[in-house]
Amino acid sequence: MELIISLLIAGFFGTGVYCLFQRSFIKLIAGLILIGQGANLLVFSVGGLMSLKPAFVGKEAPPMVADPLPQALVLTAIVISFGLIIFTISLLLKAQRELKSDDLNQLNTTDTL
Amino acid sequence: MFFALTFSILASAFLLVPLIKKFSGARVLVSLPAGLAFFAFLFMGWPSLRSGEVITHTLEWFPSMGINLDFQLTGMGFVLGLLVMGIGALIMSYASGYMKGDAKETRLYLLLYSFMVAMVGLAVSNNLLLFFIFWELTSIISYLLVGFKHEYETSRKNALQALLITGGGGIAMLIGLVMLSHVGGAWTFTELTANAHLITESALYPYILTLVLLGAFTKSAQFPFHFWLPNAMGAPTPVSAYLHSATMVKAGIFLMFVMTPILGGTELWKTTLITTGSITLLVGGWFGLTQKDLKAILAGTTISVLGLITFLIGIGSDKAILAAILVMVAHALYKASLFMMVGAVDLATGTRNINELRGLKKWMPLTATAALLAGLSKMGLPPFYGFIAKEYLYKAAIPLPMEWIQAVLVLGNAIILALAIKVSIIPFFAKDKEKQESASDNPLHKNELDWTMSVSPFVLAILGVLFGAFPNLITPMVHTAVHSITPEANLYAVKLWSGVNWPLILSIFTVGLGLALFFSSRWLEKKETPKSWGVVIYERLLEAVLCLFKKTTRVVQSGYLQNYLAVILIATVALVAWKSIPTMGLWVSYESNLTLTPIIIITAVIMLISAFWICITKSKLNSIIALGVIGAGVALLFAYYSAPDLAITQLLVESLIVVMFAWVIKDIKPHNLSTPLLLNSWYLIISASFSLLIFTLVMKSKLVNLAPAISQKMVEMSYPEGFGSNVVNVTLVDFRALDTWGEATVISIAAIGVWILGKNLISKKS
Repeated sequence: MELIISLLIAGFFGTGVYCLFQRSFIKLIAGLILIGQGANLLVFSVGGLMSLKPAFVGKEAPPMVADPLPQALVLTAIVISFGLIIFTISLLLKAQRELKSDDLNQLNTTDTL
Repeated sequence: MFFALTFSILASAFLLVPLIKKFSGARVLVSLPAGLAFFAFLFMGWPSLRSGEVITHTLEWFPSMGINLDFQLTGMGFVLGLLVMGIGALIMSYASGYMKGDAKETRLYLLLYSFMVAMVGLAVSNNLLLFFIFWELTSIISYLLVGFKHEYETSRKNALQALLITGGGGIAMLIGLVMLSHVGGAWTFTELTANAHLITESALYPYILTLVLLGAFTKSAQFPFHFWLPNAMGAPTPVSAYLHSATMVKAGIFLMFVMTPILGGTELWKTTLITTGSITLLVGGWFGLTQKDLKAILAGTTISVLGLITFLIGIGSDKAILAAILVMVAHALYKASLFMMVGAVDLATGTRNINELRGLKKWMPLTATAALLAGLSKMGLPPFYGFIAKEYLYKAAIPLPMEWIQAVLVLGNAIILALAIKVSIIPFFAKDKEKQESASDNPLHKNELDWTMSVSPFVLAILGVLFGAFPNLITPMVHTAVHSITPEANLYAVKLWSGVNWPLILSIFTVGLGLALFFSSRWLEKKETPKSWGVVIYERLLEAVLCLFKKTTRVVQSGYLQNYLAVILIATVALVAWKSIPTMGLWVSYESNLTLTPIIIITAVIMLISAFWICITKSKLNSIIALGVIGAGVALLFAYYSAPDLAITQLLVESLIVVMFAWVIKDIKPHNLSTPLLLNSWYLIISASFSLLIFTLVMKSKLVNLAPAISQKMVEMSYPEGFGSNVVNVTLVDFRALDTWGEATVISIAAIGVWILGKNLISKKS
């Protein structure tokens, strides 16, 4: 696998997880976004990278184009992770409003909210 | 056909009852399906049973495992089915009066009908597993019915107690049944009966017996599990009358009956059943003697009689089995009647305390007559069916070598007699000594109870007299039942009068002792019933289990995200490393045919720096900007590596996220929470090793080559079949349209969630 892309994916996962370990809401969201980017890149690169040959075809299929299947999957994934992130932001906003704090460690009971 | 008809008539109740409730003034009609099913069962089942033809039906279920839905009508099942549906119909009509005006009325009827289906299913199933399923169904429905007044805590607690005890017994029984089928090599009762010698000679026999009997004993409230039954009496009276005296508790008895030809006849079986039965007889009687509540007294005698039947099954002689069935039928008739009578009295006067109820015959003549008739049958006096049952009981017990048994039986029956007088005679016929009776002193809250409430107990009580005077009306059915348990049995005639003999002398003696007990019983009543030790053990055990799991949960479920994350990540890293390093090696080789342009390298470096910056920075604005940089960088990568659609989507999504962030940023407080250094370096180590794992896996994943054929096919088909030159777009809207549809659904759900949360936030603000 491509070295630079692998480093990037690993870096996103590592920093994303590290952000999740922190106690603030904003880091939680940032961590989710980072992990999402890493996962998208991972799926994207699994199909084999090919520069500047997008999958556009005419009547006659060209012999070599980029793999369209991972691209379609990642496209779905981008949109879904968008939905996830927007929902998380509103949820945390609501939780923060109720708790008057942005400490994740105060979210550890279900009953006080 | 036979089974289908019976079950479908019963099932029709689920349609009919709500309709009747809604459109008909005659709510007593709710008993119609049960009544119809009763007659269908009787008139279709009896002729073939009498002619010796066996009605069976088999539906395939797991044929590969030899497990099928086998139904078979046996003599014993026939008797039980008749009791369930016949008494059920009367209880239904009684309930329509009892529950008048209750909001949860329909729920009660439907639960009772579900119970009826389960109970009939139990009576006619010929397969161990099918039997078990119906058995558990009765436990679950009983739970719902005992906890019917779920607004009260005691009601919920008692329901749970009944469920845990019968359910626990059920699990033991399931293990026993599986072992039984393993040893006996079959799942059906009929085949197991043929292989009975294999089972009783097997080394596993004691375990099988213990486990199966645990199920029977818990269900039929045998000592030491008897304590749940009086507590279950908190249910509405129709439920107590139906489930906890006439039918459900008989399921355990029924199990012992059908197991008699399979597991019975051994010394272990006899000793266990005779001992348990005798102890239960006395324990239940003693409990009844100490109570003042009519329902509690009846619960006590129910336990006694269940003990009596267990005892008789334990003896297992032809006479004993006959007597057991007689006692079962007689008890079902008089006990259901007495329970319904108690419910009527309770509803009319508002009390069930025997010391407060006097002279009710004046106000409730029909109920009083029913109580008298049922009570006399319970006392075992001629010419009632209870008398016949008691005579045969003594006949079965007399040949036994153990003399103490007869003493126990006489004592037990005397207690039952004393309690019968207390319950059925005193409240109605005794004069109130303290208060002067007068017409103005009407104890009834309501002068007129619904007529259905007096008719049902009356019908059952009359049947007790009828069968007592003319036992031959039902003797043939009793005989087929005996034959279904012991096929070679001598069938003894059932007669009301069989001359002056030893059982009659014992009976007379019983009556004398019972009267003596009755007159001395007032001293035995306790002001407050102390908890029996069974209840204490049960409560301690329940507390201990709950405490254990609370503590475990507190340890395992800390509620802190960091802890869960750490556990998941460490486990993932450790497991993957453990499994993959030995086979794949740690070293990664680097090879690429990709041309790396400086622009890609620079973008990647900027993105990595941004990612690290997010980890370090304390400013929220910096975080958002860095995230935006990363998003744009990823879009650039997509664009460069031949994915223009992804690039466009990514840019759009990234902009939206930044906008959203910017919109709420004023509401998010700056975070100045710091993690202790030691803990933070621990998190750093975990993150780093996870990152390393991902790197290794991604580098090695070049070996993973997904089948290219799919993609190739998509490229080829895109234009001719999908009419689009952008293959990715065609894939999304055509080849994998379902995925896209799912995606749209997810986004819509998220949007609804965000909308609701946002609306809430705004309304809070204003």
